[in-house]
Amino acid sequence: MRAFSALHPSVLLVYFLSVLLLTMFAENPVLRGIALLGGVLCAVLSAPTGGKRKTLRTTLPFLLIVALCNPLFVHEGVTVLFWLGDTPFTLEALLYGVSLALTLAAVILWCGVYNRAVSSDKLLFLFGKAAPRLTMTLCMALRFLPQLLRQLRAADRAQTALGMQTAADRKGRIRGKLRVLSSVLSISLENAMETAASMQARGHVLPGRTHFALYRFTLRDGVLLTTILLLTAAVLAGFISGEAAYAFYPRLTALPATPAAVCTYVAFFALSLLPALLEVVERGKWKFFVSKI
Amino acid sequence: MEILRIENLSFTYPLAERSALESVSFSVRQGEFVVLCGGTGCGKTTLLRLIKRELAPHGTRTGNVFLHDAPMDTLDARASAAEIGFVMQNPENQIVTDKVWHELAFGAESLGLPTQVIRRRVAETASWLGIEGWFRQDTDTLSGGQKQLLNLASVLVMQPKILLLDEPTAQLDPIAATEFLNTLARLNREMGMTILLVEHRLEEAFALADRVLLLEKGRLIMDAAPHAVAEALCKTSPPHPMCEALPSAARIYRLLGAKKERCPISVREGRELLQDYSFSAPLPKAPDAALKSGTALAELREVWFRYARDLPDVLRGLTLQLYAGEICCVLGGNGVGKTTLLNLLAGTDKPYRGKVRLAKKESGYAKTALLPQDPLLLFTEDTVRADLLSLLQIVGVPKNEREARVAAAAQELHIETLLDRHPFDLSGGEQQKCALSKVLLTNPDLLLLDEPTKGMDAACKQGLKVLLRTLREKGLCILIVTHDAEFAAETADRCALLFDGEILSAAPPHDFFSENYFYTTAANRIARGFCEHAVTCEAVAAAAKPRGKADAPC
Repeated sequence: MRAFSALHPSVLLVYFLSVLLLTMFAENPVLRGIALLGGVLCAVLSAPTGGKRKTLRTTLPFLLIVALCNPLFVHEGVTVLFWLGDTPFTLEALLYGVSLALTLAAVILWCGVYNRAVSSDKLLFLFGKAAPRLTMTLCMALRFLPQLLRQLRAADRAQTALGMQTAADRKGRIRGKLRVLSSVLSISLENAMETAASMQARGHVLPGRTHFALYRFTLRDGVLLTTILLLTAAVLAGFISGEAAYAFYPRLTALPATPAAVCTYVAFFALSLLPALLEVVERGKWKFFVSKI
Repeated sequence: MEILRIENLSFTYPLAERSALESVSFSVRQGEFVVLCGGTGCGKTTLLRLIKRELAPHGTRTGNVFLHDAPMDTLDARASAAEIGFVMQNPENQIVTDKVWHELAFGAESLGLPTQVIRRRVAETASWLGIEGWFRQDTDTLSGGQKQLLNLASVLVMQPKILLLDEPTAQLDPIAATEFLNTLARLNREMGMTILLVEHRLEEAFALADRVLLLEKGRLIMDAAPHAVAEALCKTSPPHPMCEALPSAARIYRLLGAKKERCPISVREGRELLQDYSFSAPLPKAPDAALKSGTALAELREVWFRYARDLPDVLRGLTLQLYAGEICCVLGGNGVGKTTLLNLLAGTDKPYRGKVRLAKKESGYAKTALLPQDPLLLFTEDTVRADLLSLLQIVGVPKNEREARVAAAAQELHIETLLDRHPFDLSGGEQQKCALSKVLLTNPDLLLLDEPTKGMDAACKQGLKVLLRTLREKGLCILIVTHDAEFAAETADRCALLFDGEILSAAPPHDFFSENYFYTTAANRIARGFCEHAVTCEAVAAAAKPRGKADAPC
């Protein structure tokens, strides 16, 4: 996903907000299916191979539970499949559950893609202009936490090697861990004093702080941002006009297939496949360049 | 042109009986490279921090600091932040942000510069220092040397007029330290940057300096060219404590009686000095310390280790025997697995192939104790005494014996006066000593030390050397992993080189270092071709005889 993540952070943020919100509010199964397809494609193109199987293993049971829970607790719908005691188990509720599970799957996939494309510093950059000091604090926190965890591990190791973490009972073990935690916290505070001195020495308290970032908004970013906004507007128009509306209860309605509805589908399809498309085009270019050499 | 002038500066910390600085006066010319040295607690850091207004300690100050003839107090806040660059000792703690590029931009952001200007300054600084390669990396992924270079770079982005550095190489390994000092020399030579460097690693700093200032107990006792300072120090009697910190060439000169006109301060000048001497034949070989006792106290046999299944091997078939009553030093570059070796012996890591064996004793196996690189990791209580007592409680020593054990341990390491202080308030060397006493309370047979000389000055190292020798006499086995070739040559019974996951050669120091060409002590480099077997300044001086005397053997 190098082609896509190299876009300006503001473009990325608008894109992900738009896709996630549209996916969450779309009732129409076609739109939900498209969102899932886009999510899967992006995940395949962006994720490292090892992570995918693990994600599947942890999320699949959860999705199954969601799909089955809906008909167990929701009894709307007119097509009763069977009775559990004296409560009906309806086809509409089951299908709604399945569709909800698929939407959740799509949202999870898209969030994963978001995480890989928008690193913390990109997000900070977007808010850096408005609140330079707050952003600075967040930046420091981002550095501080991993450092603290590393120190904790090191201290635990050092004290274990000295035989200070060998208490047999649970109370002793907890006390041992707390001892490590408190000592590492005081070391961290001590270190933070030095960090503060280093900030002070470089004029942190001076008024009129600016925010520097590596990102530039280029013409390409502008074109893509416009495209994203237009496509989003098209899908929203479909929602608002009711052309692409769909209802599960009380009875499944027919899938809308008017020209306007089809336009909505096409727009959303283009929107969710945008990152994958950029990626494939870029890879194709590389293949082409290599074949020219 | 004069850039910095200090007039009759005195300073007393609140509640202190003695003043930290007493009427210090000196001036620094534009483009000068000045090295400020002195023993621990002589006021070096206080002096340096008083020059940087933002970092000035609280207390009573008399006298004044002038930058470009303007008193420091009248300086505009923006100018004070930008024009005086300050780099501190600890590479890790000075870094503020999580990305290298952001760290570089931090100072310029504070000054409120527009993005375009910051972009250019960051870019040119990064490329001049050759750090573009890791421009977009997380600061956490850098090595200690890279971090310190980044700290320097992020100060340079603010385009300072004068650089103040407070022992910037103390926490670095020798190779990174040399690189850092060379960068400073380049800044001074190519950019005309004025530099005031506080340093205890004088081996290289002396040769770079235009002028050396020597502080003692808050007073400026010397202010002269490096050769003159070295010569004056060599000729004082009784020997000045700073003599041990001088470059090897100067120490050899002193041991030879300080007779020549000019005191040498670099390896090259040291070699010139030795041309006037003749050398006796190599000393008879000392009996091999390693072979004196038959069974090993600890043994690593064909040990393989890596941190995770998919990571590369750190140790590949490492074999090493350790014997009771010896000091063994393992040397090697960064990241070759020196610390891993200690962890394996301490039992916190397990090899996936091969064996780590500890000898059987009357009560179970031989005990190991590890002193990590950062001694602070071991302290958990508010005073050193409480800390030592809590350890004894945990290891199950009866209550009535604890006080006596702590007192005995404190006496052994001469830390009685430190017992009631907070571990964090001690100096690096003192922390190291207190941590060592804590580790020794567990009565180990095998003591494992990870870079114990990091951040120590020469006097402190001498103290540690004596201490380790007494522990050895008691029958302890001490394994030290270190970068410090000088310390290993003076202290060890056996030295070994760890490279590519294996122990390559293990031999007594004079064999080990005299067979090496690059990886050896400065004394040995000075003596190469004159007396190959000498690896310490003392050995070189002992072997040298003035030329022209009839009784000289060779």
